[in-house]
Amino acid sequence: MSQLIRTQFNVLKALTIHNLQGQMSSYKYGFAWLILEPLFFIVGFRLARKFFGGLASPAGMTPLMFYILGVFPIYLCFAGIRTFTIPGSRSKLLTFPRVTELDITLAAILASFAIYFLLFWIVAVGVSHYENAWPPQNILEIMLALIASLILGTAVGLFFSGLVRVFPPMKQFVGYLNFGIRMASGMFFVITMIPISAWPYLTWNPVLHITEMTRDAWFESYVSPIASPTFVAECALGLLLLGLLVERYMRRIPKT
Amino acid sequence: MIEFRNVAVRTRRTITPVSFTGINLRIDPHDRLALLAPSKSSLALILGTLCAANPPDAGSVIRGSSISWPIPSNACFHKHQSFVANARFIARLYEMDQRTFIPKVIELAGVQDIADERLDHCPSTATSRFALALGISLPFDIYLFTNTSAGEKEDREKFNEMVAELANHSGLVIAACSGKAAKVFCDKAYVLDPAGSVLYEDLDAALEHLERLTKRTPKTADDEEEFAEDDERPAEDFF
Repeated sequence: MSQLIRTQFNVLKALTIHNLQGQMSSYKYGFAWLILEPLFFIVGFRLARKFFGGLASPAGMTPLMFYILGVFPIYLCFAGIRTFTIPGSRSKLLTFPRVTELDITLAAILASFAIYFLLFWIVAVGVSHYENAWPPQNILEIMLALIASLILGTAVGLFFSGLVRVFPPMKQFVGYLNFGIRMASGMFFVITMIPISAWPYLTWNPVLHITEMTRDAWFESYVSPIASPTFVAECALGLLLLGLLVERYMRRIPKT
Repeated sequence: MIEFRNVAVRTRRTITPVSFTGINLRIDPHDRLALLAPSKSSLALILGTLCAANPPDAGSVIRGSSISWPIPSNACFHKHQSFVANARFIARLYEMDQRTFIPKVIELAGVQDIADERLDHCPSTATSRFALALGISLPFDIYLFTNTSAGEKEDREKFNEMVAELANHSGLVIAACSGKAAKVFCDKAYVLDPAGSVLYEDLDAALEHLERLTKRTPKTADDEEEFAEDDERPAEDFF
């Protein structure tokens, strides 16, 4: 049994490294683009807010860290959701009999996690020092929130991988879902900036809880009134089980 | 042992669909057998199921032995990486000792002088030798070949000897659309007829059956193109 687990671990490790080595390989300096993408996002938001005005940063939060703590968890969630195309694809790696669709999916997720998790800490440490927001109040909570975000995204991705195979136009819906998550998950706001009457609706979104948890865990001055790690854990576990069930069921159905 | 029981498979979203029904075959670890199909697309269909890349439409596949990927497939190579880096990926995947495995493969493929070059900067003969060397350097119960020769004339003899040596202690499956390699290495053959697989102990009879099937199965432009593309793009990214 332990040998089988070790083999599974080695296969995942090999595929993850293979994935990392292949990312953006068609571009010159491909890996740099991968790292620059979320940074452009953060700088873009910051500049837009500065030039076009609007709401000030919430009290007690520094402007750049506010965005960093909103962008990265959502990026990790998207990294998980994006894998919905993999289980139904005809990857050439599947010609290796010891490689399954789930291995390739997990490898893609681990590769994204490795990139964004590392990038988060590099950027967050640098920026928080620059803005005098170092150290974070609770590092463990931040890390758990980032991992939970990835698990949530993965679960949704696995669930949609089955739906897309049965009903391909569902791809469009994934695009709308991404837009919805981007707008409603605290990338640009914290819950205290929203009227209390909207809270009962918004708090159904587990990704909003995650961004609230990261900001709550970083800034001593901000205490989120809604962040609930229990709700996030329940959603992550429930959705992951659902996603894995769908993947398991669809594995026996020939690909179109 | 790998066994197909009443397997049915078919292509999807193709202009000229290919389908097989009632495929029953058994591959044991000491067999030397050929899988003969009338066209490359039909062969790819069966190989996909044999390597567990695609589930069958009907029937079941029982796997009790390890099988290689279709050697010398080079589809999973990263062409922007070197021979050494690609060999390292296979070593990781199959849990081989990198310190001994990589030099062995590089030497076998005869690419010592270009081992650190990018694959897309190297001649295709070197890549095909490398792909073949990778496959035969790993331990499997059954080796699956789609081609047993690679590189120049002198390399072919060397590789043919190595394949024959492998067949002494492991199973050997040669999947092809012609009987050239099968005649050299195999002592029985399954002909993949759309109506079902037929086992022949006599290779000449198998080749006759294959010839009749080939005449009945017109090759489509799509089919040819698909495989030409595969051959030319050895290292497409998988995401």
